Amino acid sequence: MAVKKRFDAVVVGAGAGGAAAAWRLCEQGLHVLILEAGPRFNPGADYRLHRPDWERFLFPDPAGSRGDFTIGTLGRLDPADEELRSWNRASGPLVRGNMRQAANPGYWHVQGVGGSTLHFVGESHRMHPDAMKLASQHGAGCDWPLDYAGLEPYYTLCENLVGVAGPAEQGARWRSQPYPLPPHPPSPSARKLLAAGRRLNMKWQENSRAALSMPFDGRPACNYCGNCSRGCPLGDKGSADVTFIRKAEASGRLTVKPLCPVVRFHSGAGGTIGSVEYIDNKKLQRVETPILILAAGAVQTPRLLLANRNRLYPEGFANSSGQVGRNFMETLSWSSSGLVAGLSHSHAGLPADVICWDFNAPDAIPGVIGGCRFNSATQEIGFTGPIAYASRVVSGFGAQLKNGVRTTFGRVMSVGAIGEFLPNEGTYVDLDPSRKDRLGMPFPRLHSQLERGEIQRLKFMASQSRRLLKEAGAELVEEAGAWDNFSATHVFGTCRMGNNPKTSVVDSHCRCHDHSNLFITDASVFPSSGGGEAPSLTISALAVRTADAIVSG
Amino acid sequence: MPASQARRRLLKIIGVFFIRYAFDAGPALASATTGLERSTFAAFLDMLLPRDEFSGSATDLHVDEKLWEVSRSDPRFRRLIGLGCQWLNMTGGPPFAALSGEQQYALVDWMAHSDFDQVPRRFYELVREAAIEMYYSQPEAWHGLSIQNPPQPLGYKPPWP
Repeated sequence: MAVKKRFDAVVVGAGAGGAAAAWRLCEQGLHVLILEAGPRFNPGADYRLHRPDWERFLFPDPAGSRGDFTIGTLGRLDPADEELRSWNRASGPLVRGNMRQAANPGYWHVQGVGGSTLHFVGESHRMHPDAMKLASQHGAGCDWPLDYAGLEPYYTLCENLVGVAGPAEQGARWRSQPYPLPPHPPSPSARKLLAAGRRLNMKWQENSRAALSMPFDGRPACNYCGNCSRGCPLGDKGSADVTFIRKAEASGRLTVKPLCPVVRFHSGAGGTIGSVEYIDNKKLQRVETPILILAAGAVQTPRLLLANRNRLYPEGFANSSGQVGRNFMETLSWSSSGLVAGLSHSHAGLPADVICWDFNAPDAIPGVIGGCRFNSATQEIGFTGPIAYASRVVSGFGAQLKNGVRTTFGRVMSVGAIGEFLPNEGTYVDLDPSRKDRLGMPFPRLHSQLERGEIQRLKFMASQSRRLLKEAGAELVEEAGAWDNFSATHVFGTCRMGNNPKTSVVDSHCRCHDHSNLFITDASVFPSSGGGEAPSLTISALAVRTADAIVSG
Repeated sequence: MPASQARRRLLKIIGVFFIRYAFDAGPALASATTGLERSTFAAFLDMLLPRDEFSGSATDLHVDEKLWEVSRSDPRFRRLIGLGCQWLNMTGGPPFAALSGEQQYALVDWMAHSDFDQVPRRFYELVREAAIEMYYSQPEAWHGLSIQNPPQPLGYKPPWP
C-alpha cells in the first residue's frame, strides 16, 4: 500500500477540538488533513426544522454519524435515593426496577464534520479557576497541569472567532476582553425563572452562548426557534463546521475527508507514530503523520489507542501509564419541569439562555466537594412542540388529552442542573470482548457508576430545582436525572492530562508522554469535569493552545 | 420517508416486551389485516384522539393508515395491534367499533389503568405514544395552540408575551 506524504499534520475528528486545532495550524501555514469518521451534513437539506413533522426527529443520524459503543456496568439503585427517580405525569416512572439504565442511546454524540457541536445547545463556558485545582485546594479529584490564566487568552481568541454572546459580569472567570456580542433577550420561561431566582436571593444572569445575538462574520442572527439540538439551519449557532472548519478551509490549506474512519496506527522512528490507516470508500488508505492529533472524543479516542496494539505497545498506544480509558466522567444532570400559571410561549427563545453560577465553585455545595450550575432548560429538554406535551405532560386520552395539550402548551418551565462528576474505580472505557465492528475493531464499552458524592450533589441539584419551581408557582410534571438514567452528553477524562507520565496520558500541552508526535485535543484530556460548565469552549481553547505549542516546537 | 428515532425507540420497546413475555410474533399475524381489525383499530384511535371543535380525529388525520404502515415494517408491532384489537372485541357483545361511545370509553379507561406488564396496558401505552406522534406532527392538529408554524424558517422572534 502506498503511503501518501502530503500533510504537515493529520487530525482525527472534526469536532470542537479537531476543528480548532486544524484551524490554528492552517492559520500558521501548515497543511492539514482531517480524517472524520462521520459525514459532512448539509444544514439546509439535512436538518428538518422547516418540516411540519420536525418534532418527530432529533438530530439526523445517517450512516456513520454515530460511533460504535456498548454499555457496561452502570450500577444498582439504592432505594434510599428514590426521590431521584425520573418520572413524568403522562407515563409515571421512566425507569422501572432497581438497575441504572442507559437512556437510548445513553451517550449522545455526533460523528461528522462539526462533531457534537452540530447538536449541542451552544453554551460557551470557561472553567471556574478553582475547578481546575480540585486536588490541591480541596483534596479531591485531580488538578489540571495548567491554570485559568494560561488558558484565558485562548478562551478569548475562540470566543471572538465563534461569536459568543454574553454579559460582561462573569465572577471568578475574569476576562481580558468583553464578549464580542451582547447577551440574548431572556425567553418567556427564562423570565419566570429569573424572577423566581431573584426572590430566592440567587444570582441568575444571561448565559454565554455560541449563538449570534446580532449578525456576525457573515452569519445571520439567531431567530429563536428553540431547537438548537436538532441542528441549526441558519448558521448562527457556533458549531465547528461554520466556524473553525469554514475558516480553515478558506485558508486553502485544509483537506477534510468525511466518512473516513481511522483503523490503525503504525509505529515510526523514535517512539513516534509514523502513519495511520483509514477507510475511504471501502478501500484501505495510509497517510504519513509527521504530527498526529487525536480528537475523536472521550470514547472513540481511547478505543483507537487501546485497539491498536503491537509488539512495542502490547497494552495499546500511549498507554504506558495504564490510564487510557480510566477516569471516565459522565454528565451528572438533573431537570425539573412544571406548569406555570400565566406563562405562555415557553417553546420560544434560545435554549439555556439564563444561568446561575452560585453553586459552581468546588466548595459551594454544603457537605460535598464539586459544584454545579443551574440553567433554564425548557427548550433544551424538548418542550418545544405539541408531541412533547401530549407524551410527557398530559395523561389520559380522549377529550381530556386534547384539551390538556391545548391548555398546557407553552406553559412548561424547566430548570436544569449539571454538576461535577468525580471519576472512581467503576468509571472507565474499555474494549468490549464480544462486539467488533465490520472492520474487526472492538467496540468501546462504557462503565459508569455513581458514588455517594455524586448522589449528594444530585440531591442538592434536585432540591434547588424544585425550590425554584415552587417559588415560580409551578406544578411539577416531569423530573429526570442521572441517578437512574445514564444519559451523557458531556464525557471526559479517558486520556487525562498531567505532569506525571505514570498517572496521566498527555502533558500540559496535550502531547502524549509516550509518543512525541501524538497530541490529543478532545475532552478525554480533562483531569476534572468542572462544576457543570459546558466543555466545548475549553476543548477548543486547549486545542488552539496545543496547535501553538506544536508550531513553536 | 426515514424512520424517526421515536419510531425506532417504540419498536425496540415492543421487542423487549415480546421477548420478556415470550409472545410469538409469528408470520401468521404479520399477514394482511382483516376488516374487523381495521375498524377496531380505527375506533380505538378515535377514542384516544377524538374530533372536536378545533381539530379532526385520529382517523380524520389518517393516523390509522400511518400506523398500519409502521406495522408493515415490524411484525411485533403488527402482532401487538392484533392482540390489542382481539382483546377489545372480547366483551361478548358487538365488536368494539359498534359499542356506544360510553362503552368504548369505559373499556379504554380500564386498559389505561390495567397491569403495565400485560397486553392491554402495553397496547394502550405504545399505540397512544405512536398515535400522538403521528397526530401532532400534522399542522391540522395545532389549531388552538400557540404554535402555527414549524420552527424554521421563521423562528419565534421577540417580542414575546
